[in-house]
Amino acid sequence: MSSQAPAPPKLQVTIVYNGVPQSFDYVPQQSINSVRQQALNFFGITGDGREQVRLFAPDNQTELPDDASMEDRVEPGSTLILRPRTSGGGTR
Amino acid sequence: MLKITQEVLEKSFAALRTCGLGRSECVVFWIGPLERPEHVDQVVHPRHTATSVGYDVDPMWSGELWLDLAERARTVRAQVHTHPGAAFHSARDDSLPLIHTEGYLSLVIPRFASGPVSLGDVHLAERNSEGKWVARDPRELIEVT
Repeated sequence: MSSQAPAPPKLQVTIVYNGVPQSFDYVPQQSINSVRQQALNFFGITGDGREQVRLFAPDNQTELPDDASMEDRVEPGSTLILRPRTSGGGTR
Repeated sequence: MLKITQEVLEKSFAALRTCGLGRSECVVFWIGPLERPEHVDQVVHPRHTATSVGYDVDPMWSGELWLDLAERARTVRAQVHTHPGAAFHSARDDSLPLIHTEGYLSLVIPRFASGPVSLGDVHLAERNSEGKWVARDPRELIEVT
């Protein structure tokens, strides 16, 4: 008889970046940063964009903190938005 | 090679001029179908603030755009913005693009887009695999059909 604890359930969330929705698996205790890094890699986000592009809740307003766990802040099956905190430009 | 129509170019200049009124910077984005990577057929003008030397896109707008594009299987391929004087890619342009992926194009149009509707005086930068911007010849990367 095995004494190993059962594996945590795998859950899914959809993350949208620049018109592309992609499903990602996660476990409840996984950090938001870990899922964000997976998404950054998948979408090919490089350079300083990796720090600026953040995960937002489905309300498109609430930034999900890197150090929180998925189970604390994300509803399984929901759609998160991966977008820059700020975007702009100009002469100066 | 990004293929755009003359209509897209004309609509871009028109939006930049109408919004900027010759005294403020402005920005538009070029959109195309996901399944046609070199194609642009739409211009979108974001909610933004601007001064004579800069602009800021409403952060919420970009999230709304993502969801709208996802519903229509479309994507942003380039950003186009004005400068009051010369066209170049500033440090702010480098660090605050809407898209952070390789191959994304950033076009800067001089003099608040008051010149001819063409790519003649523009500055074009392309984002590379390391997240750096590289100046490119617009004639090599953009074809107006």
